[in-house]
Amino acid sequence: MSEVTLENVTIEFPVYDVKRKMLMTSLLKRYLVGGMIKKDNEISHTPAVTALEDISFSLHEGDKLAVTGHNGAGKTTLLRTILGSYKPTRGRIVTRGSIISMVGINLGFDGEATGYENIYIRGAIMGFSRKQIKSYLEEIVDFCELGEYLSLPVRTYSSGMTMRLAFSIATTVPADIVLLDEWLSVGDVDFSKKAHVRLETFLAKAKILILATHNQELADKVCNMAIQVEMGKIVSRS
Amino acid sequence: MEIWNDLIKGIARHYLWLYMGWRDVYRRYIRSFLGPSWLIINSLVMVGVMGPLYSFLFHIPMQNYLVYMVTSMLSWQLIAQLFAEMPNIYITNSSYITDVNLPFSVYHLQMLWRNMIIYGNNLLIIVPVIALFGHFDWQAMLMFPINLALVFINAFLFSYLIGALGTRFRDITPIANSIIQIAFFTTPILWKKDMIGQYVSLNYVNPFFNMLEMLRGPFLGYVPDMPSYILLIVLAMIGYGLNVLTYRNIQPRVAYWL
Repeated sequence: MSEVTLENVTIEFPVYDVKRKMLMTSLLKRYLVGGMIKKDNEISHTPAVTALEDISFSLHEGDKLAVTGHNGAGKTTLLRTILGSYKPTRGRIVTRGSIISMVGINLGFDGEATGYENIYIRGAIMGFSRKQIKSYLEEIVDFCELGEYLSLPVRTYSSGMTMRLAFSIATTVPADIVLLDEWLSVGDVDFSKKAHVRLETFLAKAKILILATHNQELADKVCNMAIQVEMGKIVSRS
Repeated sequence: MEIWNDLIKGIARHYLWLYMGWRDVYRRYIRSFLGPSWLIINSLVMVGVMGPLYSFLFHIPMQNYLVYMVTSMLSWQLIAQLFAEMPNIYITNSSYITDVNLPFSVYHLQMLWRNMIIYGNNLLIIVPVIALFGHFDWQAMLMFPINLALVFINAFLFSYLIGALGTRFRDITPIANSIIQIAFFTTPILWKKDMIGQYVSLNYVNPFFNMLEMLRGPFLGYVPDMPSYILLIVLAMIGYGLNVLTYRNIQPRVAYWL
């Protein structure tokens, strides 16, 4: 049983300017009041950006949700909230099942380490043991088509090759809940086609998919539900 | 209680931080000629130059002073490095915090483990110096694992607190750096603890001193004084208490402060 449920989730980011980030002002505010009270009341109210406001929805097995909206609408924040990085300022979130985020799939890549070593590093970050990774190693190596290059440090790779490797690792082990921020497109023409098919198969294995995208066409094709967010609010559902 | 949950989740991911901590050290030296041996050479050069100078300044016989200084400096390097890294622990891991959401203990344990490796590497210097000049005491040596654990438990607990504080208030980092600088001179590292005569007991107020005693004592052939043990246990209890009180309100906010 996999599930993603959000109940009236609100995410507010406090905005500290340079002044407010300093410890002194905070201490001064608290202890050295005196004539500053009036000014204090003005600044004690830290301005906040409401990234998400009152978001509610519930997803169950088989649901593939497209989240559309402009830049800054709150799509990525929504994905990070579901991942658990941001604990809601208000509201509640329940997730059941293993979650994998396809954001930053090359995070942790070590340029000095070989391709093989990086497979283990990325695997560990995604939560797999050495043994588990070993069992997927062959598949990853086959798919990325990097051959001999895998024994060389990743810093010798072109950026396209690095992404191919990252993509191959990320799409190997299926998860219950997959968070995808824009469709991943990697490699040259041939590889890109192959990658497209692989990503589709990978996503098909997911029980719940949440895809944030600008691309309405893609959203219609891949997903069976959609929400549109604007300024952190859901403005339409279908 | 939340901190226990976090720790347990982090221990379950031990493969990750053991590996990453090791790579951190390795990466720093990977393309250099002597590799991680630079760590030892650094320290050796420093001791080689400063040892004779300070033994002369303090009128202490060289062989006596050298072993004292070697052990003190290496222990201090560990303590200072841990303390210096704490305010930045979440900031340096910010993309992991937002995009991967690992248990926080992974970052803390990785930091401790990385410094443990460097310290272990540095300990290799101590062995020949003790063999030449020191006197070895089994009883004191047996306490070493306990002493080390006491230092690391404190570091682990305060890493959460100082880490969160350093993320929220960005001037904690320069403050920590100047604390380290001041502590280097006010803690009996180069000088001996009884050199301040009647004020000798003031040393115990300094947590850096108590930690230093834990790490160097065994190699100098003595078990640290009881007050050092008690005060470090009290410090750990304070650290734990503060975490229990603030974890729920502070740690989940860290991602917002990045």
